Amino acid sequence: MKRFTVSFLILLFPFLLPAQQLYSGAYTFNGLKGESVFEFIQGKNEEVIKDGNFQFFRKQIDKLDNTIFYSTEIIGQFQNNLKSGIWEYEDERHNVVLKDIEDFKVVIDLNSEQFKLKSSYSQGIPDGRWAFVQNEFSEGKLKPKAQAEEIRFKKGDIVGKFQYKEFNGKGTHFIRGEVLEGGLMNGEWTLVYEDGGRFVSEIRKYEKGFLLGLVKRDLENDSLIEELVFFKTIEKLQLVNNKQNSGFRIADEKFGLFFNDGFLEDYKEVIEQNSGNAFISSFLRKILKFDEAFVNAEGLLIETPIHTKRFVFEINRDDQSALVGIPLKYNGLKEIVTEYSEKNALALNRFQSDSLAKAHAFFQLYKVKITQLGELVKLFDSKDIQYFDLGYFEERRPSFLSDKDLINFTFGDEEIQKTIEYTIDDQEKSFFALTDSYLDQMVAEVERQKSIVDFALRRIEKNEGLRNLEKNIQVKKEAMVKLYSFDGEDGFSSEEKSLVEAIRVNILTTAFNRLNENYAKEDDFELKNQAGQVILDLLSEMEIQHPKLLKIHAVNATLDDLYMEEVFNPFTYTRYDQRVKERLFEAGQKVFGYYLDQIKSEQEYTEIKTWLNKIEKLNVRMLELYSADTRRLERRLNRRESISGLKSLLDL
Amino acid sequence: MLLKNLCRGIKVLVFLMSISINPSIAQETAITERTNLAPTTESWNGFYLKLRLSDKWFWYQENHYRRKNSIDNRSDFVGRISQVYNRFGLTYLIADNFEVTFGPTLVWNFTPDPENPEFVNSTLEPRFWHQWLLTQNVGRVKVLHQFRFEHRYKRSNLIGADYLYTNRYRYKITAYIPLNKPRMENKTLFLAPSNEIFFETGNHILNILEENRVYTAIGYTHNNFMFFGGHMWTYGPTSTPGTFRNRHIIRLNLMYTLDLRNKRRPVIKATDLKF
Repeated sequence: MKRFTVSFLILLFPFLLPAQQLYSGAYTFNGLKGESVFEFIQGKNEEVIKDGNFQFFRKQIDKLDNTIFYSTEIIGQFQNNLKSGIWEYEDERHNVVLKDIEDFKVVIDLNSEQFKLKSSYSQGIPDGRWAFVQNEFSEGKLKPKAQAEEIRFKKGDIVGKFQYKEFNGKGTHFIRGEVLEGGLMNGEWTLVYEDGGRFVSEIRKYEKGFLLGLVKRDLENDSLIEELVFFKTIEKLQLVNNKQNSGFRIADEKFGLFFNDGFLEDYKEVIEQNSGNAFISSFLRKILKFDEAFVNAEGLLIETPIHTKRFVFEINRDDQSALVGIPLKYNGLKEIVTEYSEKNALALNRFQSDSLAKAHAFFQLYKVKITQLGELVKLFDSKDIQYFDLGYFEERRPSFLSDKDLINFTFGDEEIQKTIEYTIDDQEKSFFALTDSYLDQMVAEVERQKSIVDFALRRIEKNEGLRNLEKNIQVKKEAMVKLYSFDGEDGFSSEEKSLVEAIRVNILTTAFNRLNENYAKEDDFELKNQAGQVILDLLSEMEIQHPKLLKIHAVNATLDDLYMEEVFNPFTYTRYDQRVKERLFEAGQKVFGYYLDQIKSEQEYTEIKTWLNKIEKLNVRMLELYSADTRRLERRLNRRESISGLKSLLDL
Repeated sequence: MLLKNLCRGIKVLVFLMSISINPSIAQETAITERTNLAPTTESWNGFYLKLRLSDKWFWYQENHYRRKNSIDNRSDFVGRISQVYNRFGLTYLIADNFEVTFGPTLVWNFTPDPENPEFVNSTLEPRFWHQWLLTQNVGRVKVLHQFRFEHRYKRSNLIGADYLYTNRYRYKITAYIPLNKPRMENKTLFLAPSNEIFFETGNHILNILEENRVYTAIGYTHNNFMFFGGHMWTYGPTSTPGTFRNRHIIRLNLMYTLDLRNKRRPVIKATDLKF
């Protein structure tokens, strides 16, 4: 009734229907850039809703190799932005090689690959019959390369029996299998493919998504490669079928291609599925490459239309807290192990002692152990552990949950091996508890090794620090003694030599020895370090002040020159230098002499700079007074004036 | 001894010159012997000032206070006031060893006998003078050649006496001999012997030789000052032909020079004095 009403209204008032528009222009389809013509309607906020016929074309020369040409054609329909009905894909790759031109006719070599897929959708999901063919064109002939006929999809999953063939030089590769409702792999699956240079036949037995076993044979010599029976899976299925399952059930979720009843990556059950699953994945990638829900832009299969099933196991309350605690503990452990395994100081100093060598080897071993443990912890963290039959772990304890670890290292010329033992009580505790307890032991061992490393490195750091300090002092002392000696050097006046010699005796010898005694007396590292720094400071200060000390007399001579002026005596008719402002100059020289004496007798190295600053200040003041009117000042200056009096008069 | 010989030599020279210059005197008056008056004593204290006004120009000034012996005591040097002597001038320094000076002189000549009412207490003697001064170095010694010319109006202290005009020609040779320094410079002790000969012309002048002065001084330079002192002996004719006078004069001089050019500007900066 409702439908009739709507249709009647639309007939009467066709403007009620949203108007369909046509787009024609550039378009990107699943990462392929081309042109498209499609019908659309405008939704809210001018949103483009594809609705109606859709066509996509791509003709493109490869950017890197212009002998390669791509051609893609896609025809289908959208309904409210979702794929609907029949869709046809045709994708070609041509490699054109120019061979010759004869009688103005181009002679080329053409090698092509053609991919044709006819698919069906309902509301954007694969639904209906799909057919796929892949052809190859070479030497003028079109040959089939792969095909899959009668693949039926139902609500996004493959259902029923299907077959996929690939035609290769060695033989035909194929997949033959049956899929139940919901995409569950079922019955006997036959896979024929190449693996590691061998032509392999793999037969798998599924029951409603559960892999019960597989057999691999080498088709060339009919030898058995591998045979696996998943006994525990069969056992559990029987219990379920007999409604005798306790503590587990079949999970409601559907899982990917890889069947995992509780297998770690290094389990045979995983390893032996890999090659067959890779072949199935490549088939699925081919037929679903235009469906973003299944194959992403990088060409990776992100969703599969065929599934396996798993059991879900109950986790008791105690184990549930371990479920949370284990990842936390692991992360903390991982952080420490990563830090210490990459610690440069530990690597560099591992030969200082056997305990450091052992600790270094320990952390390297644990780095690997932590990585292996990561897979298990990831299961805890993601809660996927609930799908794991922990009985497998109990039968075959993961290698990284060993009861002892051997640490091999070299110290001196010896090869040493140490053992770390772990207590694993798997009789009483659940796997969760076992893992948690194991982690606790790992944490304890890591903490132990860490504290050994920290203590040793801190001591090395301190000792090394003091050694470096003493070395620096020694080097600098030798340099300063050399700097403050003259050793036959000329070019220095006796006054300069006398001044420098006084500093050498008072500061570099007497004061230095005094500080050195303080340094030697200290036991505490911090205080000793401080005392050492003071000595270094003394030496640095003397290095800085040395050039200034050598300049004192030269600068004073400049001032002396300034206070001499050439005069022409108009009575004797001679020119000569005559002291300017004699009394003032003499006062300045007296103060200068005092400062100089103070420097020469100074035993506190920090005061040298102070006296030098005073001399500088005196010099600048004398320069100022040279040009000033100093008659009144000169009258007040008295040869018998004290130093403090002179300083006051000179405004110092 | 040396001084004595020098005096004797100069006496001879002067005598010879007087005979050669004035043959008429020899002809007119037969002077058969020379009469030397008893020596008198004087004390001359002078202040010499030279101010440098620019690179080439100086202000020159002399101020003297001169006394002579008492009438009744020829050897007391200071019994009577003799002269107050002020010489002024502008000097142009052509080179370090050659300068010219010109200017006025004002001299007050005091009565030879303050008790004598026939004498005025003092008479003014204005002069215009100019001189050339050349210097030379002879090893360490500085030799000065001073050529001074004066044009003066002078009268005696007798009441009603007329001004008589004379031109005076003076040549002085001085040697500055440093004793404690290699050359004449600051803080130098030196000897400064000199000899100055005076010639005079005028309508009333019979003998153009006026006087010869021999001066031996010792001095010391100290910054802008020069201290100078010594004994001078003068010998020369009097207005009475054949009669010569001589004087022993103790001279004490103070010289002062000052440069009045631009203020000092240092050629260094404060940063040159920092370490």
